[in-house]
This record gives sequence, structure tokens and C-alpha cells, in this order.
Amino acid sequence: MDDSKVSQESEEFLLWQRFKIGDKEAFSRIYTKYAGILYNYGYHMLPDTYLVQDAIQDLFTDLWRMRQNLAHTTSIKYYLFRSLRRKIHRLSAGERLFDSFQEDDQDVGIPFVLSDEALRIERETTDEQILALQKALLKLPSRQLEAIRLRFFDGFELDQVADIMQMNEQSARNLIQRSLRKLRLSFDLLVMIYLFRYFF
Amino acid sequence: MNYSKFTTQDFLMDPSFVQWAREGKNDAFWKTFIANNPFKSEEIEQAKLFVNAVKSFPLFELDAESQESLWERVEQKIEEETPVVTMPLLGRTWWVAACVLMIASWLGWQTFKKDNSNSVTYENLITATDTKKSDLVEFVNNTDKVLPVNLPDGSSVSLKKRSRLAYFKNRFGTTKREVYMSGEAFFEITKNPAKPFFVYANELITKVLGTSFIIKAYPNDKQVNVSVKTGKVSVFTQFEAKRSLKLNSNELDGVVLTPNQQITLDRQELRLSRTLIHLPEVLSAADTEIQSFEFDDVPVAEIFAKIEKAYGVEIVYDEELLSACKMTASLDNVPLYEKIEMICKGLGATYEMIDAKIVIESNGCS
Repeated sequence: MDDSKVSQESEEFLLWQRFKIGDKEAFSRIYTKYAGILYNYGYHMLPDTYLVQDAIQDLFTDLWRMRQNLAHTTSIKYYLFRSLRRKIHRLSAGERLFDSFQEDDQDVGIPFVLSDEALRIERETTDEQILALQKALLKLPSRQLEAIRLRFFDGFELDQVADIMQMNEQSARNLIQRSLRKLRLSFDLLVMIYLFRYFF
Repeated sequence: MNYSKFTTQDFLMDPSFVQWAREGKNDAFWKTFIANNPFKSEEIEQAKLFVNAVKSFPLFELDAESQESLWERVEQKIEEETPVVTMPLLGRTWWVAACVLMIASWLGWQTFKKDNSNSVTYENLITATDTKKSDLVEFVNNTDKVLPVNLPDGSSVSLKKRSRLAYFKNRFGTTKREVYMSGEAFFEITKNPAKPFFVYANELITKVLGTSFIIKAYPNDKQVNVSVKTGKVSVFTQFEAKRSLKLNSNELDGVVLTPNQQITLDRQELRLSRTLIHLPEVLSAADTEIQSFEFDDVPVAEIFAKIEKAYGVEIVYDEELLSACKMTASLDNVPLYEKIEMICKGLGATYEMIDAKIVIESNGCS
């Protein structure tokens, strides 16, 4: 592990410690730091801005109530993601928006907008390839897409992805591998686009 | 690691590769690898492209204003709860009873206390409507038995002694179904989301789409109480600012109660607090397979999940801390609070009721 990661972890650890002993300032910093990405994650699971905000509010009030009874952690983000997922599943269970045990559930129809980052990432051909890939990704069953997001977008390790999604590590690995296999077609397609532009 | 045999997929499953593709860690190593293995460049390009595609997915952002108001709501809520009331450890049953006693919740808290002259009665409610008195249909139960009442929409009401129920026959069921009551009654309402059902009882308005519940609203009581048996109900007070909005929407807004929850209105302070009912029952809608509470070396998280589902309650605890805890217990035919208490005893933990949630206080198990 390199130095930057060590210092990042100890910073998180200290922030969490301060919050646990009732430091409101630390609590507010945790909120400011993570509210945005939690919302993004929650909205992808349940595209309803009010319900997601309710879940986040509930998550943070529970966190404060429970502060003295929380474990130490070096990854607050991981902790929060896991709790938010539980809240959102509870909220949507009543609405029957999705079923956590169903493998190939329906695409919820997420509106497709390219973020600034996508625009910043290399130009021209790559843009097309990225768009094609993203379109293919959005067609994946929601659980596969969720695992892919947690791993490659949010940067969680495989065991953390498994834990957040409440499955064992091998199942999470299989889930991601299966999605990658499904995308093979699109990879071939990308290669063709690439070759086409290159040779003609 | 023999990367020279890796496929695109293999690279994407490799933690070190993903770290490099995402954050540029170990850049020197991967640059050297590519230089030494030019035949792998296509796979690496594809894998990197994949990571970039996921990383640049559209982001759903919480605008600054929502983020701030959400934080204000969190702050308001935690301030209402501090300092948390601690109950003295008396006898067991007393302790359970004490836990059931509400810990004030911020829900529906009205900033201005209304003085006593503002208290709303059954008579006020009926005379306030602009409908002809000849259209009034009223049931009064002066007997000691329960009086069953059938309403025009097929709903039924069991009216307890010293209780009254009324509706206006020309208005009932036109766009909504409205009744007025005083005393205590059990309502079983037929489902009709297009015509919400309202019960006006003292200062409290209960709104349902189709469900069963009990209301206690005696004229001289200090409290009004609504508890839910099945389905969902929403409640708000006569003084609620958005009252007319709630009276005219076809959705359940305001404080929403689910089965085994109750709301109590303090009529003087106009404070609403939500708690679990005294003896929560297993929901009839819950799967039959979860009705067994025999556990043999089962993770505590699983036991909690089962209880949450069976009773429709929320149990708040730290999954990380309790992840190592397993338990063998036979909790069949034991009421909810006793189940929780037995589990807490096994864990060396305590629990608290906050806002109809069961909050477990534990230091984990080694």
C-alpha cells in the first residue's frame, strides 16, 4: 500500500472516530463529503429523487443515533453505501420497483446524458466507442450493472462489492464476469468500428 | 502474475490493473509491461476503454439547495432527540413498557402551541361543514356492546361504547369518503384509491386508501391515537399548513403509518409521535415460511432481517459490528419485544425505541 492511501485511510479513521464521540463538525463533514455520491448511487437503484433523499436523511439520522455503537472503519464510503442500499431496498420493497432476488430484472430506463467527464476523456473515436459501450452497459440486468458500477465507477474492491450487495465474493465475481462476457459482442463491434476508421 | 496470457476480461478482473486504469497507480510497471508485450496492447486498450466508459457514466447530482435542506432536516431531527431519555432499569415488563412509551419525534411538530380554546371536537367538526343537517347520518353507541356500522361504500366500522360516528349522505363518496368520529372505533375500509377515505377525530385527520386501523379520540382525553392493523394510513392535524393539499390529493402524504405502528397526538402540545404498538403482531401478508423463529447457529443479521419482514418493523444496528455474531434460539410464540430482548440478552446488548424503530446498542461480539 502506498503512502497516499495510508494517509487517506487514517484520515477517514480519525474523522469517523471524531464523529463517534459526538463531534457534530465531523458528522457534517462526512455528510458534505458523501451526500453527492450516495445520491448518485441511490438514484441509479431507485429513480425517485424524493425517496432517495428520504433514504439519505434516514441514513444520517440513524447514523447519529447509533454513533456510539458503530464499528471503527477506514472506509466511510463503503459503510454508507452498504447502509443506503439496505434503506433503499426497504423503501422500494413496498413499491415493488425491483426484486433483489431476481437475476435478470428489467431495465428501469435511466435517461442517458453524457457527463462532463465523458467529454473530457479523449476525443473523437474514443468518444464513439465509449458511447457504444455505455449503451451496451445500460442494457445489462440491473444487478449486473450495479456490480459493475460499484467496482469500476465507485472503485470498491470485489469483496466490498459483494458485501454491499449482500452476496459472497464468488457470486459477485461471477456477476461481473457474466456481464463482461455479455459485453464481448460489443467489444467485437468496437474493434470493427476502430478498424473501419483506421483503414478506410 | 503472468499478464502476458491475459484476455481483456482477465485484465478487468485484476485488482492491480483496475487500480492503474482508474487511478493511474503503478504507472511505471504497466508502461514497462506494455512496452515489453506489444501484442497485448489491444486487450489493454479495450480494458482501459471499458473502465473509462463506466467512469464517465452520467452522474445524477444532488443540487446544492437540496443537499443543504436535506442536511437541515437531519439536524432538526437529531436535535429534537437530544438528550435521549434514558429509562431506569426496573422490572423487565416495566422496562418493555417504558420502551414502548414514546420518545418524542420531530414529526408533525408544530412550532406554535395552540391554546386550549382551539381544541377541536366532534360537534365543532359537524357544525363547521356547510351541509344541510338533514343529510347527516349519525350512529351513537350508548350500549355496552360494540355497534357494527356499515357504510355505503362497503366499509365497516365497529363502534365501541360511548362513541359516535357520522357522515353526510349527499357528500359521502362523491370525490372522497369523509366520516367524523368521537370515542373509539375499528375501521375496515374497502380499497378505492380514487376516493380516499378520511376520518376526522378531534384535531387529527386520518387518510387512507384501503386498510384497517383503530382510532381512539374521546372528547376529554389528552391524546388522540391511531394504530394500524393492515395497509398504510397517513395522518395530519387540523392545524397543518398543507392541510388542504393533503385533503385533495389521492396520495398518502404526511406521516405515513404502516402495520404495527401507531401515532399519538398530544392535544395540548399538538405534538405527533410515532411508536410501535404495544403488542406488534406478525403481518398476515408475510410469507408463511418466515413465520418460524427457530434459529440454529444463524447470523444475527439474518434473524433481524426475518423479524423486520415478519413484523414490518425496522431494526437499526451496525452490520459490521454484529457480522461475527451467531445465535441459537427458539423465538416462536414469543411477542416481538420479548424476541428482541432475548436476542439482546444473548448479545450482551440493549435496545431503544426511537421513532417506531428498534435501535440496537451493542459493542459486537468477539
